[in-house]
Amino acid sequence: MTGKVLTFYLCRGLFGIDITLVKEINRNVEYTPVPDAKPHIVGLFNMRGQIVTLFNLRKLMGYKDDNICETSTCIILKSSPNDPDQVGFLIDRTGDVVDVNKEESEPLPANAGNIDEEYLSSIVKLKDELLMIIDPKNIFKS
Amino acid sequence: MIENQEFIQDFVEEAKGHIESVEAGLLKIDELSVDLDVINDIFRAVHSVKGTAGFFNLAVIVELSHSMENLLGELRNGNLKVNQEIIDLLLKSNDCLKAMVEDVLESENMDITEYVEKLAMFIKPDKVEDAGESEKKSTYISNKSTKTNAQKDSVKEKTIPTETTVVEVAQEDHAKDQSLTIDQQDKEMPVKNQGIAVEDSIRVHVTLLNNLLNLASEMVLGRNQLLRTVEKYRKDIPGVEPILQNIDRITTELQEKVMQTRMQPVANVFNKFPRIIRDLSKKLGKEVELQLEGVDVELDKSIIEALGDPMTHLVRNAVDHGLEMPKERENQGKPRLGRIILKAYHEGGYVNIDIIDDGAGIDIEKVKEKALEKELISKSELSAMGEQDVLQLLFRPGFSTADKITDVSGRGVGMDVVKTNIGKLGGTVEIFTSVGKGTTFRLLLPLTLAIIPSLIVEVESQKFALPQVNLQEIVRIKPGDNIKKIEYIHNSQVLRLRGRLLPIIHLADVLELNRTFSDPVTGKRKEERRKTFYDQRSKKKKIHTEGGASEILPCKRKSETNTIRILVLKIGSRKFGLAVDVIHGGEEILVKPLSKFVKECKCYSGVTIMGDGKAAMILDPEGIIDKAALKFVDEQDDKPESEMMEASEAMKEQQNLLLFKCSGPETFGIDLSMVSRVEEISLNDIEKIGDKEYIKFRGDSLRLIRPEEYLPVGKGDSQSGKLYVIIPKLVKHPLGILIQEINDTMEACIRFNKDDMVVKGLTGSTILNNRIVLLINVYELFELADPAHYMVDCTKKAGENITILLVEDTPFFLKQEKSYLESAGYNILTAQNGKEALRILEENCVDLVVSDINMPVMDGLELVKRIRQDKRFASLPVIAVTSLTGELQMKAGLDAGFDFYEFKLDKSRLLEKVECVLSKRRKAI
Repeated sequence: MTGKVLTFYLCRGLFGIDITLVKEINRNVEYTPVPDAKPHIVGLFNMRGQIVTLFNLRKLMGYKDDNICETSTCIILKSSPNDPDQVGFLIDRTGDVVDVNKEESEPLPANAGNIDEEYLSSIVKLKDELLMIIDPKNIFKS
Repeated sequence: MIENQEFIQDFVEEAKGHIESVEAGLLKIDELSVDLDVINDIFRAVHSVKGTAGFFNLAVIVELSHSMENLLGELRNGNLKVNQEIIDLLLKSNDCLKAMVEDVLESENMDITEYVEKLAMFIKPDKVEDAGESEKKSTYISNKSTKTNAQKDSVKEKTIPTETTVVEVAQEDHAKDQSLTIDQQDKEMPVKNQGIAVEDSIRVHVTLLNNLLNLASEMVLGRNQLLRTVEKYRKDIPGVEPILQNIDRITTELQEKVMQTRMQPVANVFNKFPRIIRDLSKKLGKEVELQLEGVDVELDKSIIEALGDPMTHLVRNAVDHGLEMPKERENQGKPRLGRIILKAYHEGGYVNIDIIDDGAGIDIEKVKEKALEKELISKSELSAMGEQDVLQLLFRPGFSTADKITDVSGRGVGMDVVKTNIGKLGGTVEIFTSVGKGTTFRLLLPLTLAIIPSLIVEVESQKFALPQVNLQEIVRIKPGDNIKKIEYIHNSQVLRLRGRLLPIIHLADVLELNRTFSDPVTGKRKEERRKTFYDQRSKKKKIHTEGGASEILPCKRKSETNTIRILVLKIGSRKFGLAVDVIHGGEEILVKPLSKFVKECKCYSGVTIMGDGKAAMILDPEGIIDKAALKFVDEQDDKPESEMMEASEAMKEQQNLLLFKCSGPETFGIDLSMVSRVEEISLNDIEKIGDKEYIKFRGDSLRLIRPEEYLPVGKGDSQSGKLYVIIPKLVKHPLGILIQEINDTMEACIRFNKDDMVVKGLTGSTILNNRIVLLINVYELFELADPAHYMVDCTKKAGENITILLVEDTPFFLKQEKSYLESAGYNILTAQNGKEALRILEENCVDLVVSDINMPVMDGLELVKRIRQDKRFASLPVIAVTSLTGELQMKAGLDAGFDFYEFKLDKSRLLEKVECVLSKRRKAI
């Protein structure tokens, strides 16, 4: 993973996503829960006339983090023409945009769990912490 | 090699338009023989295609269009006579052109020699050469648009010969331009060519329109928020008020206009049918005339697009199965030329599209046979079905009544597809047919696909939209109501609704939401532990809890959650009650598709954005049945009598009454259907001739009568200057009824009071809004007031032993018609609906039937059909007396077998018709 990465905090961990995949960051979204949907779907919200499906990334990645702070900041991804469904996911808060170069990026270490393997594409070694780059293609494929 | 690739899409779009107009034009020639204007139009369209194709160096398209142009030129000059062969060839060439344009990149590889040769054959040999020469010229024309001004001089000389066509074009449309030099025309030509062929519109991409629509909706939401926020400060900021109002208005208008941009005339679908009919009629050897009506009626683009296939199917069916062969038609005394009518019109918020043929009609018996043969239905089911139900069998998969399968239609696929396709658009299909006369397929379509009326409901503080199509009624159940209450079968809740058990499910349970209640003390929501509405928790709680406060709590709670709101939903024959917490009222919602992530939730059919900008899920009753695992037994059994009775109560024709007062204190009522208009007059307008009063009305004198003078009611002084005159409808010698004041108009089911007074001039009395209302019998009143004109000829009574069966469900009309007929000396039997009437017919000897059309249980149309089917009654005269005054309905009535179709309610006409029918019958005997 190289290039600009948008970082965000989730469950006290630092995650990153390729900034070219991000459409926008929304704060204070008023979403409508969808009862009877899968537990990792938080709800739907109206983004300028378009319906965005919001995901709970924590549940999706299998974190059992119960003390969820009531956040309503979310990252909305760009939609591709052949997949017009708009998706977004809730985050705790946004971080910086960092430039990642080749040397800093590394594939997942061997002992990363199954879940991580599926949802993370690589690890970036920042100065004082590790940045987990998520792979939206895998996350939202189902 | 194609040049200028970046503009090629524009060319394709434009050329498609031209090709369409060529086709339309060619078909017009077909019908109207030679109209020079039409040929000119075609010529220009072909020419434009050629011109632009040249710009892209599309040699093959240029060649074909050029050949077509040559032939058209000959037609235009009158050197050649138009004939079918030429039209056919031009149509085929045009199709080829279309194919090339649609696949423009491959067009260079198309083989068009066949067309070019054939086209050339029609032009006299010596002209062919000429044409070759002009081809060269035409390339100059096409080049010309690419040449720059600098080159113009050199080009100019060469282009002079070819300019003839251009000048002609210019002359026709711009006579003034004649004085222009060729040089100037040269510059303007490409522009002008377009200006002629293209309409007053531009092409816009649909996504752009959709984006606009979204933005406009957003704008509305934005405005709402703005208005809400500024509300408090409106008065504090000088000048802000008009600005806000302006924004408010403009936003609404903007949204409406943007919605309109998606609307398209049905002509877009209809226009392809002339061609289809033409091809079909050739193939099948039938002679068909197509008539298009209402092509301007507009529908949402998505509906227009989805209409093409089902309509094509219906039209093909109509030509193939509907219309007979010309010979056969002649034998039946019909014109050789079969007729297909496509007709679009608005009706009741829907757009109807009729596909009408005057062919053989559908043989109901044959449909029944086929249905039994294919085991689509059982015999007992069939016997219970009315005509419409039987016709709906046509839409079952695998059904075809065609004797033989042709490659056009009859394979038994399709009709069900038509039904489902139209169903997907939120529309329905109806069939009307009469054997030997023809068939009408009627498509009822909503104006726009995306917007549906729905009811906003709430459970657990979440709002949902429920489409109103499935909603039958809303039942409110109050605690302590012994008649309407929820009862239990184990844990399942049911409600007795009109003698049947209605399963009740709670929306929150279906959606697996935790039921909560609001704590009456703290106001917080707490989890609901009661599983059922009237779970006797309160009692148990008293035992388990200590302290007075908590003992009172349950009672309070009871009063808070007591009223239960149940939406009665019906899908097909399945009916259930859906309990919700709050009903917010109706809203027209814009349906958006579900994203794939929530598709697996069965309970939703879509999502919408509500007025407050929040998303809300749209409920799918079908899915809810699935989710709640409701199992319905096949409800084919007859409805119990009690429900039928209630249904008939509900269906009873509501009457519109005009309530008014004369000088006395009594309130009078008159059926609005008998009122032509109400005029306001002043006392001074009344002139007296003898003791009779007159006013001037529409240039004529109109006699006025005061009901109180003829009826045993109170009289007062008429002092006020303002008076009203009721001018009745459907009477021969109009009299104005002078009244003092108009109270109200209201819709009501009239039940006559039992101990009714028998007074001439009054039909009876009824109670409306706790007032006694005297219903005026206009004819009797007029009889009293003007015996000379209104006295019924009593000599006619002559003791004729004639029995008339009067079928009418509205007591008011029943009473009135009965009195009319009785006054003429007929014996009257009465029935409230068709079924009853048939029973009476079985048991009694009846000479004539007078029937209403709109009736519960069995309506008049069905009744007359049954009568006609029965050999014993084949010659029994039947007269329809109805308030359905539409021409279509009248036609339907006459088609069904009524001898006469009369409107409610003209006494003398009714008697006249009765007499006329009876005397005819006498003669026949």
